[in-house]
Amino acid sequence: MTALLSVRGVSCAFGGLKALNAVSFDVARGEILGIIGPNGAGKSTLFSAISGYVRPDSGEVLLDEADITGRMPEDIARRGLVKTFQTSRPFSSMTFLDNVVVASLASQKNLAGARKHAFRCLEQVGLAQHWDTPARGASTGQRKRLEIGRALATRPRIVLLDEPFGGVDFAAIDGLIALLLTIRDAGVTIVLIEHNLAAVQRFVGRLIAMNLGEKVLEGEPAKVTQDRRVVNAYLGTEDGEDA
Amino acid sequence: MAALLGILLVLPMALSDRPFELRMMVVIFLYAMLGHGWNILGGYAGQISVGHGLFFGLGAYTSTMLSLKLGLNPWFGMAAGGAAAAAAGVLVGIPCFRLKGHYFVIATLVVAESAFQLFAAWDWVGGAMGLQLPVQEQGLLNLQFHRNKVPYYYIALGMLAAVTALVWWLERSRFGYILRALRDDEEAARSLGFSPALYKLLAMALSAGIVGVGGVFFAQYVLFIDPFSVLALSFSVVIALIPILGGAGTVAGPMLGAIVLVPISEYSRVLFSGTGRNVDLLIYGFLIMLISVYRPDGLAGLFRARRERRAYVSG
Repeated sequence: MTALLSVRGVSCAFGGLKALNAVSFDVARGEILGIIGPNGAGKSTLFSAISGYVRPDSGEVLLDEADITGRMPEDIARRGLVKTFQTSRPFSSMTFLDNVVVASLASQKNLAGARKHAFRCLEQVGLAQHWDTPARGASTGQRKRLEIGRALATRPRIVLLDEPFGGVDFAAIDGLIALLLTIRDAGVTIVLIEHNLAAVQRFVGRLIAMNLGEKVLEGEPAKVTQDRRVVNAYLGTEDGEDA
Repeated sequence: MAALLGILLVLPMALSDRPFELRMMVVIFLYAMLGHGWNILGGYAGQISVGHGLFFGLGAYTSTMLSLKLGLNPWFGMAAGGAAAAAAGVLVGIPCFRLKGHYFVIATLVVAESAFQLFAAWDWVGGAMGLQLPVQEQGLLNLQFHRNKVPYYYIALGMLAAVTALVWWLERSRFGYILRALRDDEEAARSLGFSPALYKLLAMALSAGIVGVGGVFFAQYVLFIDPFSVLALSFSVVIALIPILGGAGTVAGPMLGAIVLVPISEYSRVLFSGTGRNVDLLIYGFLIMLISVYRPDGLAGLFRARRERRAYVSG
């Protein structure tokens, strides 16, 4: 079977800075792929380049074999690839439920149906009892869940989650992992950026390590996180040795 | 609601020999309708325009020119004026929506002021002298009433009721949800698959169209238009101030705003006559300052009872 998402030699430069340098990888249907790397490795830029927020200078992005390189974010979202933001961005004047209703309206015109679907998505991310809470009063953990619920409500084929554990309580991480696994089991492919290596290793099928805009390594989580190049990228190199 | 509407329906009986108050009511209805129009774009979609006088003027000029040059009926002129304003809204929107925040505001201001200068210098549309509508046989067909102005009252009230119903419906519709999402966070709305450009242009077309229809009504009511009365920048500001004072992004806002602002404007005109030009704007500005300090969500926030928690999803 061909890859659901295929990134081929994508490069992006901002001025003289090469934020991404010929990054390539495939994502299979139903997989959970993690992307790790130190700050400035180009992880978020990679997500932006895939989801249309940044136009790649070269390379191509294929979603289910269709070329989506350089298309508008809204167009790519309608094709079933939805990205969440590193700093969650709720619709602050709306309640939790209405935030998700908006997302449901992306895939259906009927408002009553959209509300039902939105409520189910809120239940799935564990926010149903707070449906009437204004989003501006949400805690960081709730915002992360809300954002995932909103992405789900669009009925995506693949979601790109930018640091879904960022700022989330240590105690809440187990719940979030269980949620991601449920989502995957429901048929949604997941690619996520994460700093929390301990958490990531527990549930991703595969890891990609990035550093300075390049893919350093790709493979099984245990192997990738113990690789010297990856450790060096995170901790810095000894004796000025090149990573 | 019903009681208020009932009072408004019988009010002209008390006002039939009080032209000043009758006129004031007509202006309140008209301005509330303009405020509704502005509110769709400014309140719900969050795109603050201070150039909506352009659409008011375009509506007024379109129907008046169609009547003068082609002898067309004002009701046709109303449809044409609304359509012309909506089309102009889209044309203005395409470049201006590329700008965000304050830059968008300034762009709308510049476009409206350019239109003012253009119409003031354009002889074919009467230039600075303006256009006089020929007096025709009075009646609903010609949308002209000379001796008894009460019909204008009912037409304005009817138009306001229709637009209020439209906005009420819109607020609860798919379109309304998407507009509010765009206002709250455009990038987040894009990430869910909504095109900001498309929905902003739709909001602009509807917003401008409603204001354009208001312009046609105004032209038929006064039977004389010039750039100063329908295209002036201060008028654009008033169209925006009404819903902002009343409560942007609420159904009640434009109506509350008009009820407060129009009497201030009308009475200050009487009190200060010629020397008091724009004294009303001074008072508006003061009110806006008070509101933004004490009630940033507008007057509607004062009246808003704790919303019933409708259990529209059976939990």
